[in-house]
Amino acid sequence: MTEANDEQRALRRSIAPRLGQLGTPLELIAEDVLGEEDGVIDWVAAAPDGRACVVLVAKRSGDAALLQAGLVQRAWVEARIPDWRKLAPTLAVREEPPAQLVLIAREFERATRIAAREAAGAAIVLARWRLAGTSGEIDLERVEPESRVARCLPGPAQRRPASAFRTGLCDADFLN
Amino acid sequence: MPRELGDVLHFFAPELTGNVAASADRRGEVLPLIGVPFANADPVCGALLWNLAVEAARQGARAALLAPRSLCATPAWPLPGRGPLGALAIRVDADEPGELARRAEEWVRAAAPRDRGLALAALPAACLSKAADAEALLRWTLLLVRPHEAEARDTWTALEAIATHSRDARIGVTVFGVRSIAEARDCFDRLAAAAEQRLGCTLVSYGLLVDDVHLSRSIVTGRPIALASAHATSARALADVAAMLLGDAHGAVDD
Repeated sequence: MTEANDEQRALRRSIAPRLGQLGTPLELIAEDVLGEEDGVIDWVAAAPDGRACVVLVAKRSGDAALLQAGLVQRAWVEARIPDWRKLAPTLAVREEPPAQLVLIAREFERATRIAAREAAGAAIVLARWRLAGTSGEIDLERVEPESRVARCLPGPAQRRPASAFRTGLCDADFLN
Repeated sequence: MPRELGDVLHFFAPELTGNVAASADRRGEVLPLIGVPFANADPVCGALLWNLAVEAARQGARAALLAPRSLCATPAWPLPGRGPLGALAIRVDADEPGELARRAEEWVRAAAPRDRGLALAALPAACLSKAADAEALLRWTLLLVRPHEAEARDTWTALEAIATHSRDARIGVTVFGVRSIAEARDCFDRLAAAAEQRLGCTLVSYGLLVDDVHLSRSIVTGRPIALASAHATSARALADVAAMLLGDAHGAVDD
């Protein structure tokens, strides 16, 4: 059990600096949180627009159990955001927009990908991790196609070139 | 096993964000050290930079704003020492760019292995002519540009100096003083296109900053926007820019 935990921690350390490869900078707020049913949430994070992100990392294939765990833990986190914000008003996460679920695994079963796509109203990102070269470094790559998911984080194909304007703000930010 | 809200409260301590995300080491060539050319002693730019440093600290970074003596004397510049959330204002008692670069690099290299750091070094425009002495500040620069200044001489002087002295420099641009995203995008696009055509360099966008009443209050009261008006658009813009800088700094030192 301890060895498994160590492996999970090592995997987290490798993946944390690569989360930006998924298209949106995430501010990591908490790591290794025990959520619903004593399930572990690898990270609770905040996107620049305040959207909470629940990130689960699997060492091997992402299956239905991972998707189920992700949905359950996202609900657990969403229910607690109002309390967290009362306790820490400067916390970057907001209640709206709804929390996003990011699942990272070595590979995803086709059924899992379909289920993620079809999960009504859910913002789910699937990403696979792989070893890059022999140095033990890890790369993250989004799993396509995502349909609804693609609206939440821009995929590689939508990523702008280096000289393109970037901002995490939206027009609504300028209305107040 | 944390089960109650109180059990996870410690996750919200500022230093934990740094620990959680800390994975950068300092093996790479590009340090998390950003030279920010100042065309003049602009109090708005000074306030934006200080707020950016505080915001980086809020996001868990070990953050500092360094400036030479001449800039520190201008209004809106923070007093030297540790400020809100641990952000550090460092006055370099010299106006030579080499000394500024040395102090900045020294501060960055003094970080603990797991620190996620960010140093912003304000570089007076006059120093750009001696830029060879401050190479460490030119490897990664950030130009703060108002839309109507995109074609201004000062902006081009800075761009040419950076591109000349450091061909592989990462030249970032943050547009400020805009009232819409479209205005900021248009400004950046024009500047990026011209820089590519005239200088053959690619600019990197670091978003936009908002010059609004909250920034004015911040200048008057000395209280950072992130603390005084956390939900203001200007605060969100600062958070966005700081996150991009930290994201790139993190990747840059890790690659």
